[in-house]
Amino acid sequence: MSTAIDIPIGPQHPALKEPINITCYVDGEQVVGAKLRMGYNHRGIEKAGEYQSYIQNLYLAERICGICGIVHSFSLAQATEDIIGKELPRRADYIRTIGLELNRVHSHLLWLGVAAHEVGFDTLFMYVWRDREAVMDLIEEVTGNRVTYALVTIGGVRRDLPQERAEKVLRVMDLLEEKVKKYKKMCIDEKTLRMRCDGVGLLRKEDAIALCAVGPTARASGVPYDVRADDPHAAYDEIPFKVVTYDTCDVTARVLVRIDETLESINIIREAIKKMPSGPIRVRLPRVVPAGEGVGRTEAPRGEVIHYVRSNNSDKPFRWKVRAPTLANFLSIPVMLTSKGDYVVNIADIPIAFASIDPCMSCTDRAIKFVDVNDGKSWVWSLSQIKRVSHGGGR
Amino acid sequence: MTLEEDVVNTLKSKLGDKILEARIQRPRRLFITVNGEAYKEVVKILKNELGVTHLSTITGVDARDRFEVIPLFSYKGIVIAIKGIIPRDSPSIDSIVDVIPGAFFYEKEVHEMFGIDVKGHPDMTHLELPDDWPEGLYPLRKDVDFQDLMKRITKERD
Repeated sequence: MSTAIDIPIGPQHPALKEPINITCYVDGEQVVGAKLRMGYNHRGIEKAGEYQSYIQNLYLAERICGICGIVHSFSLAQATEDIIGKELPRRADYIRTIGLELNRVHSHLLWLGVAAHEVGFDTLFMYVWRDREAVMDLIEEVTGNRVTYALVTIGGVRRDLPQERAEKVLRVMDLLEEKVKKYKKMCIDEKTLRMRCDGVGLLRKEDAIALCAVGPTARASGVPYDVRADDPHAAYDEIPFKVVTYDTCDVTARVLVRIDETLESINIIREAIKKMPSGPIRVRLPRVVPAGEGVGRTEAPRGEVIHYVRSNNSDKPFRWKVRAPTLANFLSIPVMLTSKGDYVVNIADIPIAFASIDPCMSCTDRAIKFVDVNDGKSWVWSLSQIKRVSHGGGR
Repeated sequence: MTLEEDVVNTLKSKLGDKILEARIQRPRRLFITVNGEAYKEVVKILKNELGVTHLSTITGVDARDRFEVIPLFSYKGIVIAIKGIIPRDSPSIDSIVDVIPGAFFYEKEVHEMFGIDVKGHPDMTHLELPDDWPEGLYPLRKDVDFQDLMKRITKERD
């Protein structure tokens, strides 16, 4: 009979924001199975939303995620506007589009830095995060805030984008385009990076479809699923862009999808500023929402976000359901982390394979539990310990 | 004929009266109401006849006099919401995880938040709620008050 040894790391840790627990089943160095347990940070936001007005919920929604908050306030506003059935001023749609795309640029750059860090390429991490700072400053100028933008409101946007500010956005976009192209070349040519990413974290196309994967995770497996193209909202119906897909289904594909999408986003922002009509930025809508139901969705940096709202002729939602993209992609993690036939997953591949779906990164710093399938022994490592192994530092 | 009407006609030709209501709210938003018993049949037709593979999420609604289980499918840009109506006194619904594997987490969530029994689901353990969560307490039900819930949870922790 085996004895299990657990070495708990945490549960409190300064970097913990969204903890998760992964149980990995290992045979020597090989991972042969994985199981997830989440919910450590369940905050009951859907229940709380039923006790607050729609306007208050916009600000609560924005705080669901610290990286892509705007996609939640946008989706909630869209669902509510659908129920009320009122058209928005076009200028508001364009400003929303610019907000959503600036958010994508900063989020993809953040991820690229994190991914580089996960495989021990800290030079790239520092370069990328330096340039991301330019986007963060820009977001602050455009929306008034760096993180929770509070840009979207029900019926439009709260802040206009005057000409001189738009020109500044364009200048930063030129600078960024040059940098991102450089990083793309770096990611393709850098041998050490490719060795850590090629063929790692495999998610075959048929698995991505069956498990309903979304966002760059799906698109890196050759599934051209993008809500902006399929279900055009805001101003995406008037702005041409390319849905980026790669078909190598590995971490490299996910890196390249995100880099190419950043370049697409830069072009979308340019086009939106060029085509943006003048006029009002919001319509006043009633605070009491008539009885009905609505679905709001957009393409967040991590994939499809969907909100469902049921109203009952009051100023508070009767039911508000939120599904963020990470939950949709979590089902793919055990598939990526399971050796099968020629496909071998090593313990050292766990951090980058998990990071490749772009979960909120601090989630991963909790602990991973290993179970040796031969003798049933289990032990717990923190992600930083695994990183030491994956960077060649030994146990 | 629009794509939305096409979907409605396909479902109506296969299921007839079992479709209680079909409403096109606006382009790309389609709401279909059925009884709980026909719910899985609709999902199968969506997959086999139309080739719908993407499930965005499943939401439950406690409409006080009944429960609704609403999977939101995505098909060529259309959100298809299938509203399965189930009685409040014996809430249960068939699992669709064998048709759409991506439903795995969403059905667990509907189960633990609303206490709706999902028949045929392979793993009915908690998804979001802790392991020591009081049995029979389903937080998103309307008869569970937010303040009471907070008090009860804090008390049991102490």
